Amino acid sequence: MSLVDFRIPELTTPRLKMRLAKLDDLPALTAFRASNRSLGVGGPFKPETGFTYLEQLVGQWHLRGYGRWIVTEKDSDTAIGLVGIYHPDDWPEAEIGWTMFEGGEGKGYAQEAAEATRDFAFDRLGWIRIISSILPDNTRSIRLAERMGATHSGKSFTHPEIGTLDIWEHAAPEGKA
Amino acid sequence: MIARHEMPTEGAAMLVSQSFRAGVPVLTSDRVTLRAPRLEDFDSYAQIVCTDRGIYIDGPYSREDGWFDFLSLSSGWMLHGHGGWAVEETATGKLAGFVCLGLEPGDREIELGYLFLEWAEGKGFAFEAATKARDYAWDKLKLKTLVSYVDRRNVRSIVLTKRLGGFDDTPTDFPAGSIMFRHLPPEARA
Repeated sequence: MSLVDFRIPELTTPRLKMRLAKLDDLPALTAFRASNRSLGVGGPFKPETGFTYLEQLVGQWHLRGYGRWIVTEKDSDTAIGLVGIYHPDDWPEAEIGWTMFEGGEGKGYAQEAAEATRDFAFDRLGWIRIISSILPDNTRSIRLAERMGATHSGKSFTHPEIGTLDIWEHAAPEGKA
Repeated sequence: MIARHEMPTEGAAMLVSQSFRAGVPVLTSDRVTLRAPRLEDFDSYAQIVCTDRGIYIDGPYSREDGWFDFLSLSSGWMLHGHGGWAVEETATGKLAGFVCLGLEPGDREIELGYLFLEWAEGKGFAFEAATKARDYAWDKLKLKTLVSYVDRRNVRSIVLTKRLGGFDDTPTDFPAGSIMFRHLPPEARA
């Protein structure tokens, strides 16, 4: 049975590659979701939900034409994180999301991939605005947003399960603000 | 009115989404056309799974869960090589419902499933669309069997599944509220 050939724009940064999720990523996704590292995104989750998660990653690209990439180091195909544009139905607008798996943290990779995502949104998709919504006690993510030049808009939104998230606005390139 | 975030994707992102649509087979009969699901179909999908119409599939779902379920319809095409179609009335292009060759986590076999909007009931659209999807499974995917999981209370779906040639093949260890119907290709039934 042949799979439908579907390609997305893939990104490269000085140290990373960003590609579409595939079935081979399932163990890395499942391990991340089952670990305490997923606490910040509503986890930990049962292992059997891993495939559903993969479906969501791929399906958003199909339907919206933008989504999240699997992040790997440049000379590897092993998933070390998930960064890109997250946009479920009950979100106020599309956002840049970043999640690094074990082994992907502490190297500045999240920022490198998040900045590539931001540039993609402004330069390739032609958007004039993109946000990140961050839990007020997620100091790591707040610091990353600040390093990227994002600013806290003073606005927030409340998700029924995740709680109240602060809306950070990413810096648009000159002439786009 | 459709919420902004459920409107069709525009610009460069639309090209990516269109490349997906181009990969999904379009199946047409006189009365129904099966095509790739699109973002703007989601509201209709929610009208099925997020309302009382969804009680036979463990619903009604929240709109958020309905969204994630909708993503699964599309992603199957890339992950499995089969997945969900939106079904239009051929004459008008009006969305009638959805059919799928699905494989959800927990499913033991590939499922022929159907979800239709209220306006499209009683017209034979679901039968015609499910026939197209089933024959695609036999002729193009060369599958040897399909199943349909149906809630015992869902009389309309039971009648349709039997009309499609499905027969009760519920395993003994199956949840009490569900019937597992089996479909076989013509050569296996002869």
